[in-house]
Amino acid sequence: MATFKTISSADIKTTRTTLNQLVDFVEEDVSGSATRKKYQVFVTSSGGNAVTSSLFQTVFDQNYALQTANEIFDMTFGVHSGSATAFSASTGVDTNGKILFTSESLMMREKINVYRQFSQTLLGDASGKFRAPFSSTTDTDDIDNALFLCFKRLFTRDGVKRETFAMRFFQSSSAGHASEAHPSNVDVTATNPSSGSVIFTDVGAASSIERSQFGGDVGNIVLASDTSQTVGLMFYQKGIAVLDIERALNSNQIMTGSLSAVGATGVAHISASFVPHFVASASMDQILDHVASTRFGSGSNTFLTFQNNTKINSTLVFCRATADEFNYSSNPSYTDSEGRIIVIDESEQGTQKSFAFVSTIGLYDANEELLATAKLSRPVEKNDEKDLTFRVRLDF
Amino acid sequence: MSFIKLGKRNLENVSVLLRPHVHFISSSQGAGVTGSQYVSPVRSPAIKQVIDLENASNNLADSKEDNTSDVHKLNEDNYARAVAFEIARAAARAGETNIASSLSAYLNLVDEAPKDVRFDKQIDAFRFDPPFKFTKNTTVKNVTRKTLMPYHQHKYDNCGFWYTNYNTLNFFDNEHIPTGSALLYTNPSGSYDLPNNFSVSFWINPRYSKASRDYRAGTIFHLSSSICISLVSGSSIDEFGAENEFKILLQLSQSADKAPSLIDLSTPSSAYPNDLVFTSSHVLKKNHWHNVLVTWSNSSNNSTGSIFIDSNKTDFHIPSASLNATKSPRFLCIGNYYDNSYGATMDGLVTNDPKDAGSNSINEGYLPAGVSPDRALTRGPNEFSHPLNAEIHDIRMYNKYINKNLKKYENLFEESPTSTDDLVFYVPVYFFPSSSLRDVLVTPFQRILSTTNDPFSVQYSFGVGGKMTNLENYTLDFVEMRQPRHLGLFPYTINTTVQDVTADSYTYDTGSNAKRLLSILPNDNGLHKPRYDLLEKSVMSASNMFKKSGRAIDYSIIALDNLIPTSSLYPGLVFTSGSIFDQIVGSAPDNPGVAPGAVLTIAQRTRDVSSNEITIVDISNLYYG
Repeated sequence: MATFKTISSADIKTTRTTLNQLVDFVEEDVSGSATRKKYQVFVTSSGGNAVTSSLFQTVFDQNYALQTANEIFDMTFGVHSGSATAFSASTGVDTNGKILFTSESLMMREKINVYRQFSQTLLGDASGKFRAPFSSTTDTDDIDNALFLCFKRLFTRDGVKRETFAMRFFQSSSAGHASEAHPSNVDVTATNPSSGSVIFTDVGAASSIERSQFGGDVGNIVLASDTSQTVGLMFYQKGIAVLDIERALNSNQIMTGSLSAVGATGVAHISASFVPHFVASASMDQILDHVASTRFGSGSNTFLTFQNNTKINSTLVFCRATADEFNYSSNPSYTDSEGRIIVIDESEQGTQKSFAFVSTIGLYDANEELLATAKLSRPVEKNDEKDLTFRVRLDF
Repeated sequence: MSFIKLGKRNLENVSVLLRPHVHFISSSQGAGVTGSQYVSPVRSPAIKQVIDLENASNNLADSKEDNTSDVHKLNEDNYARAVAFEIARAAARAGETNIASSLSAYLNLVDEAPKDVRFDKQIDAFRFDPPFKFTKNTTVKNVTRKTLMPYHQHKYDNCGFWYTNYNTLNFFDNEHIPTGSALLYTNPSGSYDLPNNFSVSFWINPRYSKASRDYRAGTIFHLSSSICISLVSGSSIDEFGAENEFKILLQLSQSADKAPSLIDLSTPSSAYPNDLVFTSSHVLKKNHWHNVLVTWSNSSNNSTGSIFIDSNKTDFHIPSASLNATKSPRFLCIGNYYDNSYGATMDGLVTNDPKDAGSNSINEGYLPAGVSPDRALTRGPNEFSHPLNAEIHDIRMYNKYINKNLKKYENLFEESPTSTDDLVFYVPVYFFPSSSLRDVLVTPFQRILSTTNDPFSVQYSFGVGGKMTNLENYTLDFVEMRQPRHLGLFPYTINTTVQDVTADSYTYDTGSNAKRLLSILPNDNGLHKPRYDLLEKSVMSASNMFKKSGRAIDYSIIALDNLIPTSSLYPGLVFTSGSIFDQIVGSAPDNPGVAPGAVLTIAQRTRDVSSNEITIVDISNLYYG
């Protein structure tokens, strides 16, 4: 049965602590088809040789058919409408304002819309353009062709911890097999173990804290072997990495191979630079398949890591029981019909002091309505020789 | 070593769905054997612990002496990783532009980081049935029943040693289950003859369809030459290829004499005598509860009748004065179609003297109508070959036309009736603590002539630890207060020599027993509100079976507390085994082949007269909040 004591504001303290976890993504998760899910929602309307593609792909930490699989991150690709890639592929604008593109290009409007969506979310302006470094005002720092990695909240929690992001990446695609008549490097799996790869990181980003009004804290992703080269941006609270394709990859590399195309044959052969030709001609799925299967490795090694932040707000309520308090219970079974304390022998009445065991602490509001209860792992004896303070912690 | 083939019937699966997102599976099949559940509902191998440099250094120092163990290797890796990370950060702060080597070392060691141990934390979940002897699980049951349930009763609506009196009749068949079973309600005085104005309604949930076999019309309600209502395929299948939509097939008057499976649903005949065949335009969905109403009157709406599926109506027109059979059918058949003629074959199914222990229908709980011997149990190959595959309850036949679109009838079927006014037949599927005299199973080898007032056979349960529903206590027609003949649903006994048989294995190995056992299921139809006024008005209204903890009467529950009188136990018999004990108790779970003794074995052993036909799942409240 309850005995009440008023808790003053001096007995209540609030704190905030941060927990960190280490996140470790392995190469085969992103390169494997069983752990990378496609959502083929885009279909061209061109009869027999229609092209089907996703607008993004999701990487899982296990085979995504398993019930225990968790989504790690979404991966997609975008092109800014004012970029050279868009200009070179465009044939003009129709009367409704729709941008028109050459028949050699594919999904250009979708790529532009993806970029616009991220610009709207992270920069607050759908027409805005990402720049790396974030605070740069130089046009040459524009990110015209962006690879977006959106990490899931299960892993980022309340945000990615600054200066903990590191990612291993192959800037060039492996050469195609020489035995083939037309060697293709579009779909050659990255070597394992990794060689020829570089590391992108945000280590050092703490020295220049930047903030987007809409995207939160931003750090620059740089090349670890030359930190003066910025290759992308990391939006910490959003858990989104934006990589500049032209700087993160060897954008001048000649890509050879077959691409899905709308037309009589359904296949187009390409032998042209990664930017702008490959990114304009390939479907989103083909770009993402290429990046996922050839740029991150395919073994069981770590390709990407960061630490996350979990912020825990706590309210500490100090419930103090002085020597003369809470030594008695109002439970009816505490005393017999004559008011004597049952647990004290009749012969000891008057000499032995009353005592009680504290098992539960209830927190009430001013109207004496119960708000929360705290249970002790085991009852604690309280008598007039003890001055106890119970610290009740509410985490949320 | 010997090899024993374990079939489907040797395996028992239990599945408990908890919130949030925790699925506990206890199974003896394949890799499904799990007796525990992770505390963390979402776990990922990609999430690991952060060991900073200070902790890594301290841990390494602590394990320095432990030079060969994996622990030391782990601490070395942790230290190396932390050092590599700090070197990279320090270098970047110092203005160095090449930090690749230290970051590469860091990345190489990240996958060696220790997993988050919270993801490995599991809590065991236990599931058990009360034991046949006094063990700690007997105590768990007693503490739950006598202490926890009374303590928590004020918090929960339904916390007590009882279960809800809201049931369904479950009809099904498969390769192990006999098809020729049905409930036959005798019609000695013509009380069930189809009235000139009539309405038949019921709640139905088509539960069962399989891609591997053709769906056969299953009859719900059949009065020979008067009316036959069947469930037929709606020609829609789910992703597994099994039927997932169904329709109601209605045959009236002379057209009810054609087996429903012989009717061509795509082009029904319009020629006499098969001209009064109608199907609903609306469908019933698999695993959904639907209310079906068939109603007709020659004096209403120009002799236009209707088939209602919920509120969707299909009309049919029959310009006739009556749809009644020229001869009164001897029984009303529920759950199957009687495909045979009037006369001796039909009479024989419902005429017998139940006190004649040699008769067959006495086994099937049939209330007497005549004195002549009943028919042999052998039935013709097609006589009852349209078994229903669905759950049904609240079966009514009115002697009036009911237009559900009228305001006054709008909610008629959403609640149980409070009286039998205008009703000709009403089976709510309530437990009724009284039954006819019949042969009751007491061991797999013996039956005794008895009535029953319990939801299951207490002799069979407390004597040999077997499960056997008292189906007869659930099938009462509350209008005529009449029990049906449970054709093909009586408990067989073993008449050959067998060894090592347990009561439950016998029950589940015998098709008719299994079907009888599963013929009553808890009702999950939330669209219908059960009312118990008819039970309250009945002669059994004061039964202890409706008393919560022996006190307040509540007809919505079936009490499981005191199923046999404690006075039947032998207080002086302190043994729970041995020759003296065995002589007194007779048959036991471990020895069911002998005759029952003077006291029921399990009750004597445990001194517990509350139901053992329960399952206790001991699982942390982490999983259900």
